[in-house]
Amino acid sequence: MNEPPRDPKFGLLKYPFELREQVIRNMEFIDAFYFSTLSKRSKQMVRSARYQTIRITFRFEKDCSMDKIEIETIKGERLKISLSDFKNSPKRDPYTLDGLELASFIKEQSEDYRKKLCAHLLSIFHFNSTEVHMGRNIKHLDDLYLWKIRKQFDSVDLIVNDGLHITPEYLKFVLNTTKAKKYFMYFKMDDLNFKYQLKDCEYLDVGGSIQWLDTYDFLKRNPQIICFTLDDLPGKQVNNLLKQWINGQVNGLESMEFFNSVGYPDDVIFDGILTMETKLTEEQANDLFGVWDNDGTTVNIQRKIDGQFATVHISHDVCLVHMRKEKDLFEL
Amino acid sequence: MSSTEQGTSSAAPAEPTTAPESAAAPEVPESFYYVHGKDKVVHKVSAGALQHSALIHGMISNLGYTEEQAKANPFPFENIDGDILQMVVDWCNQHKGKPTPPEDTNLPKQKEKLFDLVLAVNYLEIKELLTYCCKQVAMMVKGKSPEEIREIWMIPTDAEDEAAEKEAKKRAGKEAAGETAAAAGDAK
Repeated sequence: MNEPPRDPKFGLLKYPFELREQVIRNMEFIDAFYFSTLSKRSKQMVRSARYQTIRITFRFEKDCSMDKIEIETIKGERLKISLSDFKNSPKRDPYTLDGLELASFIKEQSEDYRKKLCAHLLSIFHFNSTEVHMGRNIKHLDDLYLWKIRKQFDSVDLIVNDGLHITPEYLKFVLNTTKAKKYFMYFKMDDLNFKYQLKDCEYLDVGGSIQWLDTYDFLKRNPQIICFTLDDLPGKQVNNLLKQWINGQVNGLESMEFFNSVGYPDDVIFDGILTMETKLTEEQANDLFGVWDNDGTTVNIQRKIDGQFATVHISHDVCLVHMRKEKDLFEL
Repeated sequence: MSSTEQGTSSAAPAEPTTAPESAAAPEVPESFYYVHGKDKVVHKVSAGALQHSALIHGMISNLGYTEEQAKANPFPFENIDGDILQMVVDWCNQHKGKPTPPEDTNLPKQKEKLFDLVLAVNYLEIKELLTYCCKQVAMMVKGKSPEEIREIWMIPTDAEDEAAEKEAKKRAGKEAAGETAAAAGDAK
């Protein structure tokens, strides 16, 4: 009797390196992950292929059973992987992958499956942006597994809703243990005396409580800053930040935006600052600021060291400052 | 489209047959080249279709062959099976002078054919077709479990890799010892 024909095999490893890598780059994210768990060699192959993804976000939610990883790939895939700790059964929607199950495929030993999974993902895939979202006060040492793997991120946000308050110790922990280009800070803090000197960030967005942010010499400590948005910063401190820019070194700052429900009086904002009439037309001002009020105040200020202009617009509850180069003026 | 007929291994290949290249007649007479694979079947392909292959395009760009010279000197691709080369030639003809679509549904689904096609396309440096092929290979494991992926792509375990490495080292050691002994014998 003849034997039934056997399913022909497909020896991927017989391909040259660059061909294997091209195949891996064409795989779905989760297939590439599974492939990486097959052996040391397959793990190395995925790493060498430099599989591109847009971002990975580690989300520590208010309810820790909802903790997850979110991944966005260049193929448009959006994956969620649950990362609840052992004590909490994960709450999942049908589109969320079980992190515990995924980690079980990874052969390395680890006391915490979350650490094992995060370390594996970060070591084999190339993420254009690595982000952390912290939606609760992290009190359990178990939750610090991520910091044992990595401390540098592209973006860190500390957004605690529902009236949860942050203590100075917790804020110090977050800012001292992470290094990021972008920080988004929306929380309440009761301590009125605590100050933190944030440094070396490029984008900053602060709301909720602002008093913790030390704005003294802020631009000097953050020479790479590109833009920042601060809510409820007192007018005197806005004035001081304008003076820091006028008297400071050349930097790449593009905009400062301040929002305050009680408004910003012109005399406080421009105290001790030489202002110039702006030549911007209404249309140009609208283009520059996005939101522009004809009844507001719009003036130019100038940096001493290189003569660069900035346009300041104050209206109702906003003070917007946009730095402009001659080229931008021409384009306007 | 091109059609083929059985060639021979002699210097002068059999006269290949041709099929209409495209509906629109080219303004300038098109030049043709000839290729054959392991089976010696000669395929007549237009220079326009061959532009997809960076390897062949590089080979022909400076040749300046006449029709007769081209016919007398088909490019031999002895490392490519005849049916695989036929698929490649068909694809090049179908996509001659056209923007390549984002997906190609005409690629072979059989594992063996696809495996050889990928190697051939990689060798001939046909970038767009290679992209399709690699996607097709990647799709073979879509939605599969790790063990299913291991089975489909024949990925060895760490233990198997280590055993193979040991074996390779042992073999290399034996070969080196054999060469040394042979050299010593020669010296005597």
